[in-house]
Amino acid sequence: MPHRPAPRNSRLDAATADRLLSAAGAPGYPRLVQLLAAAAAPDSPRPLHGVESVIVAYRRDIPAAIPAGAKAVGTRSAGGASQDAGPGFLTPRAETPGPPLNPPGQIPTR
Amino acid sequence: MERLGFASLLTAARNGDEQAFLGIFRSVQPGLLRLLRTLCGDLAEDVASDTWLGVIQGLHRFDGDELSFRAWVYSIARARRIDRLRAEGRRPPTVDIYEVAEAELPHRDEVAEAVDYRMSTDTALRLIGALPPDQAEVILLRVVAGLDVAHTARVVGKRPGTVRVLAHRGLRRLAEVLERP
Repeated sequence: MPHRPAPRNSRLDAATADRLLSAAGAPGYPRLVQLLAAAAAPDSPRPLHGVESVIVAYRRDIPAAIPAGAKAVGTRSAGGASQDAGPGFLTPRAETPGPPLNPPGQIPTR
Repeated sequence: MERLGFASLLTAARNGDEQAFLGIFRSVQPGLLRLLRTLCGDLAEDVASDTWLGVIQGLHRFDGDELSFRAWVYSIARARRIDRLRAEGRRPPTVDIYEVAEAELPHRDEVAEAVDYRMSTDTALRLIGALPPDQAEVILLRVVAGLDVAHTARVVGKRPGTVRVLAHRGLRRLAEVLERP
């Protein structure tokens, strides 16, 4: 394995390291700046791994977290997220139930 | 996440808004996978799935801003990664950073190539991944996850000063490799 001694000018100090990591760059370390930029570069658009299984788990577990007697409103089946979040996002479910589909003693006509 | 406001998105996701949850997932998952692939290779996708299960189960208990949320997700990921590595009886692979550099970087005398050279994300991550694991983790949390020192310290369970030292050592090592003759 070729192990080369480091050149003197590569002994960066702690303050420079802090600046590099705060995305402010640092003069004298262009390749290090390039490396950090490459590491943080956004992914090219492509399908996200694991989204299906995570959504299945979300559908299974999250409704249970909604308090009883309340339901979420303002949800959308597609497109952007709900903009209705905030106070009033949870609305109480109606207290008085509607008429039964088949009143007692009445035979359905269909 | 910034367009709608993280607080609104989190509230909606907590209350069953699937699109809001997907918005959070889309924002966090790429960086999470990138960090996990660097630190635990082919286990990354399983660990990421475990992480999101933990996020979903704890979502209604979480309270904080976006940076705290990211730190919380990465904390869960860290615990799940350690669990998986233990369960599989694996240690993080050790790679010689100079071998990675020899294989991936152009030599100084290859002037024309070096002038046009733009480092790829994969090369950058392979070099970071060849650092000692604690240094690699701290640098990835700062650079890929975008966490500050305080949140990084919380994720790795170390003091902020220790995080700074680890990051400094890791970057110094990378600088030595990159500036090699």
